[in-house]
Amino acid sequence: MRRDEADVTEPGVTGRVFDVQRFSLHDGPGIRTVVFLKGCPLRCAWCANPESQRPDPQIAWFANLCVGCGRCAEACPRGAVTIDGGRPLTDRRLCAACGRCAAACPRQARRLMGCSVSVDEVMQEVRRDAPFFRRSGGGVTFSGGEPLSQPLFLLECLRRCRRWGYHTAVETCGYARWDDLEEAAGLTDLFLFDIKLVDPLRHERLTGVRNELIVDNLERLLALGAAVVVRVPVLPGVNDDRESMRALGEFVAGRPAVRTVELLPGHELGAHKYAALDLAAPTFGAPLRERLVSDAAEIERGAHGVECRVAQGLS
Amino acid sequence: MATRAEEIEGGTVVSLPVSAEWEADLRPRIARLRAQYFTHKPSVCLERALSYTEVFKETEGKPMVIRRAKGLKRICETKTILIQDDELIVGNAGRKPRTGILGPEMSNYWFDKELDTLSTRPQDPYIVDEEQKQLFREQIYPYWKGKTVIEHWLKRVPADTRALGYETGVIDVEIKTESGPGEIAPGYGEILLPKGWGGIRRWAEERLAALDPADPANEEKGYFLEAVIIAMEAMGILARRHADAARELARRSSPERAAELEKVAEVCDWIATEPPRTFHEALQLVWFAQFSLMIELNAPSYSPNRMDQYLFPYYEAALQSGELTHDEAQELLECLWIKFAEQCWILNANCCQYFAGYQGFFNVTAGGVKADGEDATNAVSYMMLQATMDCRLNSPSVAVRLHRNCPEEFLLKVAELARLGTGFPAIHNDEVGIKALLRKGATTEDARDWCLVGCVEPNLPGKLHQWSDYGHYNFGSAVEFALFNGEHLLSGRKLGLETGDPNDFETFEEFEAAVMAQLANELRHIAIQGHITEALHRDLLPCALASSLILDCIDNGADLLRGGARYKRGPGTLGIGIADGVNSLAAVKKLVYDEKRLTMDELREALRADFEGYEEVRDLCLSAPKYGNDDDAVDQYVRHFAHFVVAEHDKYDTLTGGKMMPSWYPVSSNVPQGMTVAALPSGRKAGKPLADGVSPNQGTDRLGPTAVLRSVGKFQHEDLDGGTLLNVKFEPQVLAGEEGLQRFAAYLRAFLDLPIYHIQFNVVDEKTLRCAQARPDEYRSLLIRVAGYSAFFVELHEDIQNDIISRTANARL
Repeated sequence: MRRDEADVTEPGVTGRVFDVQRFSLHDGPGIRTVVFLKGCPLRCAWCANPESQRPDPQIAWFANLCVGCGRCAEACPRGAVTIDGGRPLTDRRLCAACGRCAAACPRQARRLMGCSVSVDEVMQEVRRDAPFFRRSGGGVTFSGGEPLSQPLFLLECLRRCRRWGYHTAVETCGYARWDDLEEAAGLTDLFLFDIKLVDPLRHERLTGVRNELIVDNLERLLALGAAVVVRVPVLPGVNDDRESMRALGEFVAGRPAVRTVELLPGHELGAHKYAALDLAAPTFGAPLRERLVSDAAEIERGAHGVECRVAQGLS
Repeated sequence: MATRAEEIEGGTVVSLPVSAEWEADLRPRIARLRAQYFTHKPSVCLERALSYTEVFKETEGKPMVIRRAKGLKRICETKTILIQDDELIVGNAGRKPRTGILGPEMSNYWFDKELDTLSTRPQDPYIVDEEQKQLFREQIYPYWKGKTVIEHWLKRVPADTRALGYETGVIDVEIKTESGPGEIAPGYGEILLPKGWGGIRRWAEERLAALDPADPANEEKGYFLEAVIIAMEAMGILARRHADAARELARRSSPERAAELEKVAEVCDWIATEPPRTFHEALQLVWFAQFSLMIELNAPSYSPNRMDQYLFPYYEAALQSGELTHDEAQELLECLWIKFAEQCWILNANCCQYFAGYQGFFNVTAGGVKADGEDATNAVSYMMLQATMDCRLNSPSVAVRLHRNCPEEFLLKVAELARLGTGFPAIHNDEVGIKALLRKGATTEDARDWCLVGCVEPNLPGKLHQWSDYGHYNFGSAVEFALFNGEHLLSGRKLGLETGDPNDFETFEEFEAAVMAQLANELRHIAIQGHITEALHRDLLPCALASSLILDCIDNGADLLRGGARYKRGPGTLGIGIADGVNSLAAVKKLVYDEKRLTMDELREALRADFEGYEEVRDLCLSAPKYGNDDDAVDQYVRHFAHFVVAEHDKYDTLTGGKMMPSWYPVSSNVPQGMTVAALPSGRKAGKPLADGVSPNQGTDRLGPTAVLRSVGKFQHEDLDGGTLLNVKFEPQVLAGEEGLQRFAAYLRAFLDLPIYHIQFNVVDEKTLRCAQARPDEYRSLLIRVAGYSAFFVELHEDIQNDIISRTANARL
C-alpha cells in the first residue's frame, strides 16, 4: 500500500464507545489511554463491566448519588421513568436510551453508557496524552467489550494510531473472525489475549461460547509472530483450582510462542454497575493473592522460558 | 520508634513520613541534631529589637541607611552567641534556635496587642516570658510608637483601598507593612564567596574614595557606601565572636568535641574578613549571611539559591586535597540543613494564616543549566536532595530545575525524593523558568542562571531585585462583585466596581468583561497601596547588607530600595483562586447563557443564601464542567485570565524601577482569603478555601494526573513570571517499586514537554483514604486505578474501600 493511501480514512466510520480512560497503567506498557468499545460476544458469568456487554447504549442509575429530584422523569419523552418513594424507577422496555434523563440529572446519578463516536473524535481524545505515551513507552489500548466486535471502526483507529506513531494494544477475548484479527495484527504492537478456561465445555457454560475459535485464533496470531500476552482472569470456584491451573500450565507449555502470561485477580468492584443497570451482580469473590503468586511460579516452572506474573491491578 | 514532624501547611497537618530504616541509616550526629531541633519550642527574642532601639535613640538626625547599619553592628556586638552540642555550623539570628526576632521599626503595635496571646494562638505560637513583655512595653514599644512602617502606611493609604484590603481581606496587602522586602537571592557565588566580607568592604571603600562630595548626586551614595562598610564590620565582629565562643566552649569540652570546636573557631576567624578556602568555611559563611539578612530586615525568603553551583568547586577541592571525604561533606551540608530549619520568621496572627508554618522560606535550587546552556548537575546537586531525604524537616525548601538533557540519575533521584510524600522537591521546568527570566529583562546567559526564591518565584542570584509580595488578590471576589454589582456579600458593603446589573448582560461576554473589570480594580488597589509600601521601605528600611550582596548596588552607590540592582522586576502580586474563577465562568456560561437552566437572578439568590434551601441549584453548579479535566470549553478561561492579568500588570510601573509582576501561587492564602468570599457559581460554599495556585479545585479533577497537566498547560506560564504553583496527587501504589519509579520519571519527562512551570506532589496515603471515607464530598476525584477497570474511591462501597485501603497500606514505599 502506498503511504498516501494509508491516510485515507473511510468517511463516516463510527463506533460505540462507553469509556475512555487516561493514565491507565496496567493494560500494556507505559502510561496509556484505554478506549473501551461497547459490545461483547461473550457473557462471562463474572464480568466486572456489565455496561460493556450489549452493543447499544444503556441508561445507568447510581442510587448513592441520587437525591430523587425527579428531573429525569420530567425529561423522559417516553414516560419510561417514574418516581416512586423519592427514587426513579426505569421501565427498561420503554427506555430508548436517548440520554435526556442523564443530561437533566444535576448529580450525574443517571448516566448514558455508550455513545456513537467517529474515528476523528476518538483520536482527538487519544492524542491529548501523547506526551505521556512518548515519554513512558505507552500508547493506546483498545478494550471493551470486545473491540473486534466493531472491526471496521477498530481497524480505522489502529491505522490512525500507527500513522501518528502511537504504540497500540488490543485487549481481546479472541472470539472474532480470523480475517479481522489478521488485519488488526498488521496494525497492533501488542495483543492482550484472554484465555479464560482451557476446557471447552466449562468455557461454554461460564462464558456462553466454546473456546475452539479462540484457541485457534491465538495459535494463528502466534504463528504470524504477533506479540501476545496471554491473560487469565482468575475467579474463585471457576479456574483457581489445582486442576484448572495445571491445565493452563500445560496449555502454555504446549505453545512455546507464548512468552508472557498474566494472572488477573477477579474482584467484585463492578457490583455497583450491575445495580445501576438493574441487574443482579455475580458473587465470585476474589482469589488469594499469595495463592496466585505461587500458581504463577508453578506455571513458569512448567513451561520453559515463560514469564508468568500476577497483574498489579485487577481483571 | 519514629519521630513525627508535624508541621502546618495550607491549614492541614502534614506529617513528614519517616521509617525505621531511614532512622537506622541516619548519620549519628544528624540524628542527634535532629532530636535537639525538636526540643526547641519557638520563642521570641528581643535582643535585636533592643539593639536597634538603642542605636536609633543615639543616632537621631543621621541618615537612615547609616542608622540601620549601626543597628546591625550593635546586635552583632551584643547578641547572645549559642553553640549547641554536635554543631559544626553555628549561629542563630536570635538568642536561641527557633526564635522569632522582632523588628519594631516595621510593626510594633501588633506585638503589643498580641503579647498576651502570642504563646497560645492557634497558628504558629511563640513563647514569650513576663520579663520580655515588661522589657518590650517599657523600653521598646514607646520609642517606636508612631514611627513604624505600618503606622505610616495606615496614615497614607486611601480609604477605599484600605477597605478592600486591610478591613475585608478581598486583597491582602499586609505582609510588607509588617516586614522588610526580603525575597532576594543574595550573590553568594557572585560576590560573597569570591570576595569575603573584607573584600566587599574594600570595594565599598574604593567606591567611596572615588566619590566627589561636591557633586550633589553623591550625597546619598556616600551614606550608602559608609553603611555598607559598617555592615561589613558588623559581619566580621559576628564571626569573631562565634570563634571566641567556640574556643571558650572547647576549653570545657571533651577532647573530641574540643577539636571540633577549635575547627569551628578557625573557620569563623578566617571568614570574618577573608574569602573561604574550604567547603566548611563556605557553608559557614553562607549561614552567617543567611541569618544576618534575617536580622537586618526580619524578612523572609533569602534564597541560598544555586548551592550546587557555588559549592561544587569547594567540594571538589576538599575531596582532592583529602580535607574531607564525600561522607563528611554530606554531614556538613546536613548540619547546615538543620540550621536552615531552625530559623523562624515571626508574624502577627493574621499574617500567619497566609504564611503558616514558621517558615523562613529558605529555598535552595539544584540542577539546571550553566550560562552556556550545558547541564549543570553535579555531585552537590545530589547531596542537596540526599540532605532533604535524610533530615526530613520542613525547611529548607528544595527546588530542582529539570530540563530535557538532565542526567537520568538526577531525574530518578528527584522522583525518589518526591515519592516519599514530603512535598519536596518542588520541580521546575527549566525552559519555562529561563523564559520567565527573559521577561524580566535578563540577558540569555543570565537567564540560564536562574534560581528559586521563596515558594516558586523565578529569580537570579546576585543580580535581581524583585520582591514578590505586593499583595494577594482573588478571583472569587471578582466573580462575586460582577454578580452583585460591586457588593461584598459577607459585609454588605460596596467594595467592588459598579459594573452594572448582571440581569442586563445580554451575552456571556458582557458578564466575563464585568469579572475582568473587577479583577482590574483589585489590581489597581494593590498598585496604589504598593507604591506607598515601596516608598516607606525606601525611606525607612534601607538595607546595606542585603544591597551589598546584589550587583550593582555598590558600583551604583545605591541601596536595593533605591534601584541599585542590575535588574529590577516587580514587586509582584499573587492571584488566588484561579480555578474558582475559571469554574465560575464556565458554570455561568453553561447554566445561565447556553442552556438557560438558571436565570441570573435564580443563581444570585442561591449564592446570596449560600445555597441554603437551593441544593438543586448547587447540584447544577457542581455538575457544570470543571477545570482540571482537559476540557477546552472550561480551560479557555484560564487562558483568558492569564492574558488579561498579565496585560493589566504591565500597566503599572513601580518605584524600584520595574513593572508590577504577576504570579499565581498561594503560599497558604487560599484558606484565609476564601473566608471573605461568598458562595460562587462553581458550587463552592461561602468561606471555604479557594483553590491553591493553578491547581484544580479540590475534588474536581476526575480524569487523573495527565488530564490535570493538560489543563494547566493551556496558558503561557512564563508570562506569569513571578511563578505558578501546581499540586498533583498520587496514590503511593502508582509510584511504588522500580516500575512505579520509572513511570513517575516518565511522567516528569512529559511534564517537561508541556509549557508548565512548576509541579509538586502529594502522595496520597492510607490516612487520606480514611479521610475520604469520612468526608466523601471533599474527595470526589480520588481515583483508584485498576486494570481494565477503575473507580472513584468514594463511589465504592465501604467494604471495598476498606479492601483498597489495606492494599494501599501494603503498597507503601
